[in-house]
Amino acid sequence: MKTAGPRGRHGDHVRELDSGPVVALLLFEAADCLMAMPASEVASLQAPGSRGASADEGGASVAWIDVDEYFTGRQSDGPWLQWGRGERCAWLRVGWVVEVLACEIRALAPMPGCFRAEGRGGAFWAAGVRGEEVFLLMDPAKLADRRNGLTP
Amino acid sequence: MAREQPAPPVLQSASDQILEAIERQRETSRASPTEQERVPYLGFFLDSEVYGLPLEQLREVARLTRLRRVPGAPAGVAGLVNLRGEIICALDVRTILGLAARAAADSAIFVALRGFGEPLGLVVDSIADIYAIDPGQIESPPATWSAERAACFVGTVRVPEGLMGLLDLERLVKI
Repeated sequence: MKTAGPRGRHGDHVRELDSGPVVALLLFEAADCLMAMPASEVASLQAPGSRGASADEGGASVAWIDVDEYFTGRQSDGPWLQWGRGERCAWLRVGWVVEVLACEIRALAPMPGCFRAEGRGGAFWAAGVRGEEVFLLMDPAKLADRRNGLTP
Repeated sequence: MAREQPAPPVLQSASDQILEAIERQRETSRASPTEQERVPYLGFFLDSEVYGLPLEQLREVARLTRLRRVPGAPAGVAGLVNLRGEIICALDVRTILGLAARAAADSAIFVALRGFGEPLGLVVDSIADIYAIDPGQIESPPATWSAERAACFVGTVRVPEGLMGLLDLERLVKI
């Protein structure tokens, strides 16, 4: 595939290749599941057990969400990812980080209707394939909103 | 020398011929319906029970190799399946029908469906056979079934493997 260079309309983190726009996804394991989030929204990563950052960053209340605990009730001992989108941010604890994957946007399949309903299953935007494995593209904003009581 | 002329065949009137043909067809249909009248169903097993779905709603049958469970998914959803790069939602028929929960075995089969808008399929234990069902033989679900369970079926029909429940897929996918 030949790189055609960045396109402004997609922002800095989405590149347009001959085959279509590509987005970088950070793949991680949590809740016995392969998940992903846009790599451009991950500002930093803290090693397991080092919840050293202030719980009150820049005066805004920041949610600390253990993704394993969120979905299964079991606490994880993995690393913390600092997620941010515009004014919103949160720290997410995952099982372990797998890799950063360049993924064609058109290769992502929207989540079927039964998963888009309200509730914890609605935390995923889409699903993609890495080799033979299916991964779930998570929207951290949904978790943060739920944790902050903004959604039921 | 006069030649002997063969006797002309006794011709049936046209109306007689038509009536006779109709009677023959009626007799045939009473004895056994033609293959065209029968509807093909795919039979599959969940435990030892056999269930059926119309072949016209079947897209593909494949061995279940990769099932991705989705945290927070509804109980009737087994997860997502990667079928040659296509991501398909897999329904857990076992749970929907109220059967005893069991993890999908290595030998489990994925039945991909067609005609439901979104890619959809069922996780089943194994395939039984393809049956040509005479619609006239379809009976109501037994009275011993709960109303909740009976609502998942369009009816039942007797096959060599036992009483086959014919799934109402339109209803099943809404549960």
